[in-house]
Amino acid sequence: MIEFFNLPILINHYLILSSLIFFLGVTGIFLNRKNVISILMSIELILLGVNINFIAFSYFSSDLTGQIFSLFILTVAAAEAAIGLAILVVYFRNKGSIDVKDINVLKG
Amino acid sequence: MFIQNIINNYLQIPGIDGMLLAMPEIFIFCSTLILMILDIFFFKEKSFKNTNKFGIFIIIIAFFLALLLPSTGVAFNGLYFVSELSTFFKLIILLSIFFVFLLSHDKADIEGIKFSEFNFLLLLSTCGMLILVSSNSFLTFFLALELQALPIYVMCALKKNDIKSAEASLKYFLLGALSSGFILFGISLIYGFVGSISFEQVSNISLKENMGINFGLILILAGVAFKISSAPFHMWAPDVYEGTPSPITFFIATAPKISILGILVYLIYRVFSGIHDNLSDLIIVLSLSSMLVGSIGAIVQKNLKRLIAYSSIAHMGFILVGMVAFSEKGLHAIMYYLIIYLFLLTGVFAIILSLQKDDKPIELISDLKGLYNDHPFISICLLIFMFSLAGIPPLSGFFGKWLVFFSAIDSGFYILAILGVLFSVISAFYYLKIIRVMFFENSDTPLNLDGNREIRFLINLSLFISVLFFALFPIFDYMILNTKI
Repeated sequence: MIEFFNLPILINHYLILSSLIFFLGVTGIFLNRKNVISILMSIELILLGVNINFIAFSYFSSDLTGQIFSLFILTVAAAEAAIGLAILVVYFRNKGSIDVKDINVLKG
Repeated sequence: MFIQNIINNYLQIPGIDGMLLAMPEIFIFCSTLILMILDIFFFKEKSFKNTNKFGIFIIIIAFFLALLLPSTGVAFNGLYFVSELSTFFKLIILLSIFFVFLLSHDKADIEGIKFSEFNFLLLLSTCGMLILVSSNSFLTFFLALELQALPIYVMCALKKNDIKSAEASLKYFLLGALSSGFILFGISLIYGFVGSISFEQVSNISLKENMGINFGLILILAGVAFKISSAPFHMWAPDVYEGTPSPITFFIATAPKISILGILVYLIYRVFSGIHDNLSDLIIVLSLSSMLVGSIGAIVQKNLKRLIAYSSIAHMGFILVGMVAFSEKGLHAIMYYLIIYLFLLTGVFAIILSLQKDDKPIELISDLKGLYNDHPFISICLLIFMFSLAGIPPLSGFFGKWLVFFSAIDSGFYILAILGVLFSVISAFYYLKIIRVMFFENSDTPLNLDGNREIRFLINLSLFISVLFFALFPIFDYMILNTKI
């Protein structure tokens, strides 16, 4: 058991983690049947997965670009979350509900 | 002499030549900020009208800045570049934004979007689009993509008390954010496997078999296909087109798509040109499925803007045929197609916006009943636009399709070209359906024509371009054939 913990963490492990988080986010968007807030959370998860990817690549290739990129992603994610919540507020005022199954006015 | 010295001193500042290259964007951004302050303090009652006029003014100046300033060069440590191709796309984008301003000038009231924020968001989004077409690194690409997309999400929800508008905005936001996530994941993989995010370094790669790069490429392509609403990533387009107010629908249908196609052209023809063989199958799939979905899906539609959404999906498919061709001819065909498509959509939306039934904007195709009896000239204009969209010679749409399919045949994609012509014939069906409704069906309530000077100007301009395109061919030829990537 001690040997297991002494193994070095390689880039594969980071990539597997980030892919898992990314696909967790994507499936969260498509399989979610409850409410829109959790879709917003899934979007944040996607961006988090991307960030882990960038920082891992940046660390293992000793190149700073990836870390700078991940900072930019953080700021954009904040802007996106703000706009998403604002749109959600407008939607809630009109509809009175944020259930995914109620988003059905537009179809055809 | 003194002034000369000052100018020389300024030119000594490092990065000032980059400032000159990016002048249109810098100008639009700064003047938008100034306009916001002016709006708060001075334009009390006429807030929307005044900001709209200033917006038109800003766009015209930016157009001439983009036209006259140096047209090639790399700036800001290789993050930003200007080429003849990017200048071409900038001019087209600014032209379409100019049309959006003109269309929304008097119609914002009846569409329920009479807020000065509409103009600010439009200008900021324009800034993002201009940066997008001249981005030279994945960092600039991503940031510009977000800068052009985020204001659009807000603009869709601008009609605050309308459930359709809010829902369209919500859908657009969720799928747009998802597509940004895809693009980002792709970029991160390419960064990891190439070791750089600069387009120049990525274009030097020769790793055709590398799984990481190929997977990243697929993800980026999927995200971009989301943004240009190409099938199978098109599901947001009909809903968003239907829900948003018409001036904003026109905006979504033209400018962002032109800008993203601009950078897609650059990505395919330059950045990923070394691994084009892996890409071309994917683009063929995107193109064929877009043409299929666009032509078949539109047949059953009853809402006019939904129909335009499906037609725009089909047109994206035709444009992607030019990308498949991967030749200079294909590139020029795409540029022709974008100009033609912009003018056709301008005409169609100008007519939709100028027509009203019971003091409400028209929505359904059946609202067009009796248009020929009420307003013969407008109905004939719409007839010409529909024929042109369907690709009937000698109107402009025919030349667009002809050039695109010709470039595909030149590069040896015979089956793709034949299928394209076939889908183009199928799509003629629903354009003809609209024509049948407005010429051969009558209704009791008359249609009101409420076209002001700007809208009449736009209708006449689009009519002129689409009818006399073959006569104007040499002018466009001169513009386009001299353009290099």
